[in-house]
Amino acid sequence: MAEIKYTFSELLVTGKTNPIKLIALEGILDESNADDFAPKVYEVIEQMPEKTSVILDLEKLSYMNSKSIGYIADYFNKATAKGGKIVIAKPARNVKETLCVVGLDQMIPFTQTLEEAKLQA
Amino acid sequence: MDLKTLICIVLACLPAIIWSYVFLNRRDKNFKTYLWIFLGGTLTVFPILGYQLLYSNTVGQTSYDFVGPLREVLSPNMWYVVLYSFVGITEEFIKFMIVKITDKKNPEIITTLADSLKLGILAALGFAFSENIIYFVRIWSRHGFDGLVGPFIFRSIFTVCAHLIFSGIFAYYYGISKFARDFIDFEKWKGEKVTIVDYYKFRRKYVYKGLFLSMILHAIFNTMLSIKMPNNINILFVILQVAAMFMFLQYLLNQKTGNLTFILGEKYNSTMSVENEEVVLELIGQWYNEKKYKEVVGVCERLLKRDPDNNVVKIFMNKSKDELEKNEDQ
Repeated sequence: MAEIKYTFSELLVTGKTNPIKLIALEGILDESNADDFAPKVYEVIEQMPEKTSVILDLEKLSYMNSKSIGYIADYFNKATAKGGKIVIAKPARNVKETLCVVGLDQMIPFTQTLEEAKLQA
Repeated sequence: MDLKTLICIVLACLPAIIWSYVFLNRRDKNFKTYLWIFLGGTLTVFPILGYQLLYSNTVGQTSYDFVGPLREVLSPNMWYVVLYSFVGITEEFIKFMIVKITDKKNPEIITTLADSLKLGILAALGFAFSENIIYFVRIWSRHGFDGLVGPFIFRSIFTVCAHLIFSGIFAYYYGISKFARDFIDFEKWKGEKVTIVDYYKFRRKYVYKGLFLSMILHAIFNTMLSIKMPNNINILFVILQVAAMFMFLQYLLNQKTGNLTFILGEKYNSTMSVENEEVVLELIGQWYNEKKYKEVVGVCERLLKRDPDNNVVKIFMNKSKDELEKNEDQ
């Protein structure tokens, strides 16, 4: 099974009233672990209060398979249904290219830094 | 050449010109080649006449003659079923060979399914043209010019159109078999398990499917035209059959998938890495299965900017557009 490390944390940003969740990923998301990882994010989104924003930090994620991309689109739908937002921060070049071809950049803001992501969230 | 034959040739030209306007575009890239295929099609009537002559002058004269005894055993209607089914099957096979030989010699002519279909139509148009001349001369000789008017109108509208459709159908499926590799990849990305053996199976399947369909339809058409039924109900059946097949052929010609151009030779390299492109193709396949056709079209458009010659992406895009159009119509 491919390795995926993840951390969930809450961010406090001055000047922002809505809560922000940070999900940082490291490793690869492929057929062997995508289905196991996804429920963890769903749980976070389900339990978070209304209007919470989620920042996905993909700096150390070197590969995502198609299922994981589908899951991101689904996270976006679930988060926006609760009045929240999803922001993707620092995606690796190849991951970013794939996400852009799929068209996720038209729904979800991509940022170069975590600071920018906080402002977007 | 006597005047009667000359007039019959002119008469046979009329449906050929009209139907070629209906099915073919004058500004088509292969217009000149199409003319040659038409001329080739006109010659296909000779092998069919040839084997009939050969039979009646050889086996038909001996004790090995199996046709005479068969005719005696069968009822008149059943005899027509056997005879005209055989004629229809042979005609389709010969027209198929014209398309196949033309494609093997000039593979660059068929780059879309519609091209393949048009090739079949052209071969059939040539065949129908020659067959019409023979029929018109024969009918005129037996029943005079007045007796020719009805058959001329019927053959020009229904018989010629039916010939074009039969051949158009096998040629369309021949086109699918020609682009088998891309269609198999399309199946693969949709999640089907395919192997190299499937490639050959796929090719054979579509060639046989097209030939079988056209032969069966032709045999039904011929049989219905020749048997006797009360109130000529068989003619009504023939008219309905041709109308239904005409709509089917127009549907195949107008489909986006039928008109997408397959790149046969060298292709531009994709600017995306193979690994990333495979991720996108996997997702396209998933979304296609989930009927998210709008999303598939969007992703394909962006992917084609990076990999413009990818035939599989083009198939996904055009099939999704066809599905979207179908949904709009409903």
